[in-house]
Amino acid sequence: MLSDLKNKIKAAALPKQMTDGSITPALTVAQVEELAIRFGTDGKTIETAALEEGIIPERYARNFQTLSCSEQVRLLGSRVTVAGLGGLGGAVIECLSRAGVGHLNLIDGDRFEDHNLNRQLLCTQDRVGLFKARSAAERICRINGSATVQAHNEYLTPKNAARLVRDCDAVVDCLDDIETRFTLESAAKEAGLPMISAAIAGLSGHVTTIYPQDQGLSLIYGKREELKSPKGAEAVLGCLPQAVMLIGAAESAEVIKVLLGREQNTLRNRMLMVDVETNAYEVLALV
Amino acid sequence: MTDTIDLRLFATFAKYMPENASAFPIEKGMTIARLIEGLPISPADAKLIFVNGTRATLQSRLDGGERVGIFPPVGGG
Repeated sequence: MLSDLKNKIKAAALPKQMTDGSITPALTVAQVEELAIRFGTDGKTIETAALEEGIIPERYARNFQTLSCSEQVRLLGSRVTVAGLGGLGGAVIECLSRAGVGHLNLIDGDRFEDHNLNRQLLCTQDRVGLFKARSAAERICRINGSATVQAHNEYLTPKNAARLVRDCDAVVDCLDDIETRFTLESAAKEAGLPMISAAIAGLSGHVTTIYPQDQGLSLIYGKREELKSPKGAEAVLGCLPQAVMLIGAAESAEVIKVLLGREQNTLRNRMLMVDVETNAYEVLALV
Repeated sequence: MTDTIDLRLFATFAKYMPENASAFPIEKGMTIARLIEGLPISPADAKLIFVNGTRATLQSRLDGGERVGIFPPVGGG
């Protein structure tokens, strides 16, 4: 079956010029879809089989040479949980689905409101009132039909966290309150998963990457039991789109590095601090 | 003996940035807690403190010449 599939993929692939001038066999999006239907499988399986033969799905052509075929395969085989689908979550799912992360597990019980329109990529005027998780799932399918998605229209709580955060390779904290961030961190640690966490207030924000054995969020927020309020400075300052997009992109970059095993380049035990107003961009040591 | 630090205040604290923040006078050996006493900031809200790019605490001492950054908790998404 697999060799038959690979033979069909080889027969369908057409030579395309890559950015480095090399000529490489490639598959169009339409060819991937057609082969998936013919073989009764999903686009991810077709693209993985193609990449294993050095055939580039054209949707990822501009990822090369920065990503190798085997790294693209690794992303396609990766499963990422994204908790919170507002400003940061919308930016993160946009980036991960375009980069070629194969499965996204989405958690958010909220619906869009007018005040989300200033910064949340998934929120358009026609979607106000609709579930964020469903909107995110639809967006991913429109961007990358090869990816698979599971959407949970429910808020993360200590009761459901273990159930919602499992069977994945990384967890992304795009939540909007500090208390729930700790709930997500506990679940990620218990499941032995790395978590990438970002937060915004006004024109400032920060990103860090936490592995299960790390101190993690307590280095940023103090001890969970000593939290004065579930909300931070954003309750006063709001969240501005220019900060959200930039921090969301930095958070996505961390996710991709974690998935590719480039731990030495991550913000583990460090924090990228950004203030777009004063152009303060600094990586700070947390330990 | 008086020295200075480069003081940066972020998020809700940014509005309290003194005009002389880049050469903010301190007493050599003073703690961050003492520094904050002179600012309209509650020490309980100063959750994240950095000295020369490394996380510090309210008890960390300043010698002068450091870059000091102070953040409130930031949790928005």
